[in-house]
Amino acid sequence: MLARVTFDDPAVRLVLLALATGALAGALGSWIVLRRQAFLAHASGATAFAGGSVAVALSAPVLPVALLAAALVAAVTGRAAVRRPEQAQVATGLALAVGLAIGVVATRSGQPQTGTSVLLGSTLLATDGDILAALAVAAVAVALALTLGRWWLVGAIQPGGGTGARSGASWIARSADLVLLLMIGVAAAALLPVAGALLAGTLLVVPASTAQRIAPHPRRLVPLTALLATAELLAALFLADATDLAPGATAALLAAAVDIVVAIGVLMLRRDAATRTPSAPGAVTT
Amino acid sequence: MTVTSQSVVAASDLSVGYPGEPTPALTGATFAIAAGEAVALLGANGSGKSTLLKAITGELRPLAGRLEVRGAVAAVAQQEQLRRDVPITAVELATMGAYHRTSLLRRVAKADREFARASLERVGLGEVADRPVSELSGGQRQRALLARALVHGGKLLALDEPLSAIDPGSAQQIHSVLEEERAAGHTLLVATHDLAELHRWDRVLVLAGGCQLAFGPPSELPDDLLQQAYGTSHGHGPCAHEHPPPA
Repeated sequence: MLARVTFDDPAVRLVLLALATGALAGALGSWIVLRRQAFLAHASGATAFAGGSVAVALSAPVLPVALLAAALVAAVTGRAAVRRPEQAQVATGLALAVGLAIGVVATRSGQPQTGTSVLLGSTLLATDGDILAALAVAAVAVALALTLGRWWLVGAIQPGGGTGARSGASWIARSADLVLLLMIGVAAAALLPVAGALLAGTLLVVPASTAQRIAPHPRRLVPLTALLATAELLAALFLADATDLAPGATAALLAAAVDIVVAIGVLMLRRDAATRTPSAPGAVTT
Repeated sequence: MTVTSQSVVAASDLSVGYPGEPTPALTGATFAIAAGEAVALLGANGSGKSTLLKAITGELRPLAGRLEVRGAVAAVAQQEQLRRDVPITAVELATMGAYHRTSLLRRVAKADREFARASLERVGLGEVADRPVSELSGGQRQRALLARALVHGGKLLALDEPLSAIDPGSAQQIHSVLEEERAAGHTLLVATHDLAELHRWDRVLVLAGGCQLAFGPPSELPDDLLQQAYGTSHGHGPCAHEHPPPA
């Protein structure tokens, strides 16, 4: 079978994982950054770790349990953040800490190697099912971004506002917000084989943050993030494969390095543009 | 208090609060706003104006009492609530008013996009329609939000302090558009601190410390009432000092 042949090729496996991650970063990471939900993405990764580790300890399938745990916690924490914004950081931090703690405890009572791979990621241990799941989640995320993106933008510019029950837009606005929160959790869990729970959120957020420095408008931010994340992931996965480094850590370091370079470049360009702008007549210079 | 079939908004002993808060932010509100009326919502910060508007738009549910709202509500939140770091243009913001009638699988209709530009023209922002909202002044942002509400449509236009912290030109432009909307038969409910312009409103609803002090024509308000609404510190609690509503 074609799928069988394709999935046996290590290079193709890495490319598919990079494509899935790039699509997730574009379709969801861009909105996470625009809506300032990066912390929530990290907490989702931690709760995916908790779910995955408990599944390992119970000899249950890792991915479905991790997906469920991360999606539920992201939805509950995210909705609570809209209703009680002043307590959002505390609730999200609590979800992150408790998720990591449960994961560590469950890992000690389960299979240590599998538990560690949930935490740190391992493309070697990724099954065909993991790759298919990541691709499926990415496809769903892209479809949702195309249909619900405009409502995610409404929530970005005015969190929780302007969409009251009598506006005629309440149901769709609230549903769109909830779907995004659920998908953040699902995406964090789907990226476990690539980056592990510790860095899944990073892979969603950092490429989007880098792209935002160049193209802040959502119409350009989403595709640029997808391209950037895919390129960074491809480079990182092949580098990690060649050097036997952890893929998630390699990808996170590479993404952070690119972000720093782009930040410095943008800053220098702005300073250059500012110095080239002639002073207004009569302006006092020192 | 007369609640008729013509009432667009009718509240009876209404209490509204926020989830997790031990006491309601507004208690005992009783009023009825007829179709086509222009009503000002007066009161110091924390008096319950925004809470009442959120109940009317459906963002908050009543804790007690009765609230009836007939027809769709187009709401304009305080412009301070608008995030400026999301780089959308004024026309994109105004177009959001048409999202609720646009299929998820389609882009916003050309007619609605043209309506958004026309609404921006109406509020005096035609020339800056394609400029990012972050580059607009506070008054211009407020007018862009008003344009979004105009595109949204609805029998009731509910505005939360649209005249606060804006330049006189923007305030005049907003007043002009509100007059036009009123002439077109729309009902207006506007939270404001602009006591010098009370003559513009059919009736005023005065709140203080989460309690209703009065509801009636501005000319019939007791002399000391506004002083009481703005000059006295009230804690949230039982509303023991209500004035009877003017006849």
